[in-house]
Amino acid sequence: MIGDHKYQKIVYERYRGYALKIVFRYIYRYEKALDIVNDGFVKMFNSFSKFEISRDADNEKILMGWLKKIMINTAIDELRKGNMLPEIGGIPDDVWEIADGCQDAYQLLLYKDLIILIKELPPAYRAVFNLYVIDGYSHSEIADMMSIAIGTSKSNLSRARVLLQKSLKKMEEGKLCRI
Amino acid sequence: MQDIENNMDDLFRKAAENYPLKTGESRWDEIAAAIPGKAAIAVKKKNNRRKYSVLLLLLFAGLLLGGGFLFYTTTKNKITGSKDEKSEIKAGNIPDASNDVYDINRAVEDYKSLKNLKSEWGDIGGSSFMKKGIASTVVTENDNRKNDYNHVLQKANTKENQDNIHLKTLFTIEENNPKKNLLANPYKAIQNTDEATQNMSMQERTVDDKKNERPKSKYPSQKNKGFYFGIAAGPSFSEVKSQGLKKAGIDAGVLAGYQLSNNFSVETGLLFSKKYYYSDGKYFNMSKMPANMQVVSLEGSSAVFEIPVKVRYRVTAGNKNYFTFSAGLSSYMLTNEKNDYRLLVSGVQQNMTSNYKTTHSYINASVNLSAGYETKISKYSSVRIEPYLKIPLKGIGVGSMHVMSTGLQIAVTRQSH
Repeated sequence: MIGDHKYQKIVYERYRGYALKIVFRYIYRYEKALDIVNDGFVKMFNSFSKFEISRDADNEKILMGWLKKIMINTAIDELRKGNMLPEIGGIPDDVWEIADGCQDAYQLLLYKDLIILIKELPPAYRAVFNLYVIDGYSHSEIADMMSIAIGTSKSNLSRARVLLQKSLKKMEEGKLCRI
Repeated sequence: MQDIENNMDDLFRKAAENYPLKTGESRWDEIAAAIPGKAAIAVKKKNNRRKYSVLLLLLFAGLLLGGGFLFYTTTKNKITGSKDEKSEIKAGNIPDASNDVYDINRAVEDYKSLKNLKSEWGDIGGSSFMKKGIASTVVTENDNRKNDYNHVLQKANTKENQDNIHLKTLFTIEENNPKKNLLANPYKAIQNTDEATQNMSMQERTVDDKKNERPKSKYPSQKNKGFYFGIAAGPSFSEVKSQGLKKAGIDAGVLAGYQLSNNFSVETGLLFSKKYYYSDGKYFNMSKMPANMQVVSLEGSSAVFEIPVKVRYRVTAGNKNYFTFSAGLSSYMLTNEKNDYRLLVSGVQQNMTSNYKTTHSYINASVNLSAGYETKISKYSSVRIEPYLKIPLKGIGVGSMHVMSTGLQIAVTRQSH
């Protein structure tokens, strides 16, 4: 597969949605997230020779884990380039898949709202929350990745949680009011 | 509180996994343009095969040089032998003043042996000696004795381990001797030199023994066979399919050849060449490029090691000057290629620079033609100026482009001696 565009394209098409979902949690703007996904895939294909395929292991899971790591690192780099400054403006509706009245439609809308809550966090809090809660990194790893102190990572997570709880509460109240 | 946090975390994890996000249109073309294609990797896969090709190329050059050296050493022995033969009194050959070295010792030995023959056969007519030479006379007088005479000559030759005395000595003897026409009558010459050499050759020999070297000839023989080596350099210009020459590149390296005769020689070498060229996209082979990419044009440069193998022909144009013509084939080892592309990726024009550092080899990639002028700057050294034209037989590089080169090669060569 190394260097063969045909197979690389297959990999890209298969995992670009997965990669975008990871990156979009960190990066506020959709277009920017698409750019970062592309950068991440370029990094992956350029260093694909480092990827070791073993017979017994679940290679797809390993590949997905590796891809996730690359995407997160690329997204964190981008956030650091922007000095973790908060973004202005909302997220356009056309970036979301339309829930087409299926059984999970309500759940999907809920998930969308939850992600919007995460995205509305200040970038530094958002990054730590994503890294710790969703992507499973430890505080020491987060501190290394973001070049911050472990204490800062912990406090950022704590503040992120507080903000999210408030937001969730508001969201629940809003829904109750609508009902 | 902890439970609430845990529940919240789980909820967000599920949301992160399943939230409905559009993946948008594929932007694969951008990725494909930014990563090395199949060609570059295929090159890696075929690297071993190419390594063998390079080795074969070097082996070929080595064989050429080695074979030439063997040929040279063999021929050199023959040349030495033929020089000896020149000084022999052969049937039908009167010793010629044009021969560089004429061995007085041998003449003396010949004379002695002839005297023995004379005593056996009786006196031989002088006129026939004058006309045909000693040996022919002997042979015509008695064919049966020819073998005996040759045997004597061979004996004389084997005894020839003393230093040679130059023909000049013989001329000197002749000038000092009141009797003229010595060479026209070698028999007399030998008789006269018999005494003269007693006096003069001893003096010459003493000097020569001291020097322990072969006496220098006033008229050195024209060496028309042998190896020569040299260095060459010059500007070169390259183009693809007559689209115009770019900035000047350079050729530089070493060359080695073998002079087969006065006119013909075979030559090889190792030249480093930097080529600059421009090409429209239509002359660029896209087979090694991504499928969705279209090359509009490119400006390229290549670093190439060239191994030419050619035959040279030279025509004398004066005492020390020659007009030269050569034709042959050149093989290339492409070590570096840098292309500045103008691309169309999904209809959008982009610029891209690619640097390919993998070595490719191309056997007999171009026909090499040249014509020039060569002049001797010393006894063994020459300078030559040769405009050349290299017509491509194969495409080189990622785009398999037919790069034609022209330029001027200036070389200094030295003949081995």
